Amino acid sequence: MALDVAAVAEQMLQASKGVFAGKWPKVKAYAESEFKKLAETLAMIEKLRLTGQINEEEAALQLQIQKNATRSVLLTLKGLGLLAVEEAINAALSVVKKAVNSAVGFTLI
Amino acid sequence: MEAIRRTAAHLRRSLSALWVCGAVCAACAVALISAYDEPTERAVTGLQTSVDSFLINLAHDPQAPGCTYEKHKAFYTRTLTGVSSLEVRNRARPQNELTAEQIVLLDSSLVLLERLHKGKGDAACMSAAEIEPLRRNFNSSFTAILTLELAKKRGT
Repeated sequence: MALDVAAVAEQMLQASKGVFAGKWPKVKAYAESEFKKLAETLAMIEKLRLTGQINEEEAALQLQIQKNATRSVLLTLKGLGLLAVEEAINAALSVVKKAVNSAVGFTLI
Repeated sequence: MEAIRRTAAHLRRSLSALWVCGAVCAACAVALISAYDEPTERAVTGLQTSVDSFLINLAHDPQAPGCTYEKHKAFYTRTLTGVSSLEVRNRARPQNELTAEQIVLLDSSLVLLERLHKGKGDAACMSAAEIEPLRRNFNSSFTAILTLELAKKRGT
């Protein structure tokens, strides 16, 4: 049986789309919750400075710690994105595997 | 006879090539990021407990001299050593640049916290209001590292 290239391509696309659709809500929930917390924390630092509870140097140190935390959250989002891409690629490859094995009539890959 | 031998040899080579191709493709699951590492998860969880408990204690009892930097030097030495070990381990793991960078950022934040604490001198300490954003930022950093590490457990 010959491989139906168009059908395999469509199945690969659907497999990848399914992975992204499943992953996105979790990534979005994490990003929303962390960005909200980071914004609230930034407001706390601003208030401490405006009310004179911390001096300029202390505010700068607090803001640098805040920047580090924000960068760390962004790195996690980058990692979650890479993991989603990885899973989508593997889901698409799995479709190819099934199609090839079915076409040759035995377990080739 | 010679022709049969040549055909058999050709068939053997073709079958070997097919096996190699099959084995390579079967093992070709793509990995774009490192595998999950349990010691990293345990170490990060331990550091989070230690840093948060340290900050909570400082916020609850901001009275000098008990809360001064001099009284808590050992905490910084111990914690920065723990973060350094974690960084070495994570730099050695393949495809693990993101986590390694997060640990470098954590190390930088601890050094900044030490500077803040030291800057208060011998007579004053950070207030509970000053400590609150620090706790939140450190917890965001720890959560970020753990969220990524746990996501590396594929298929769960």
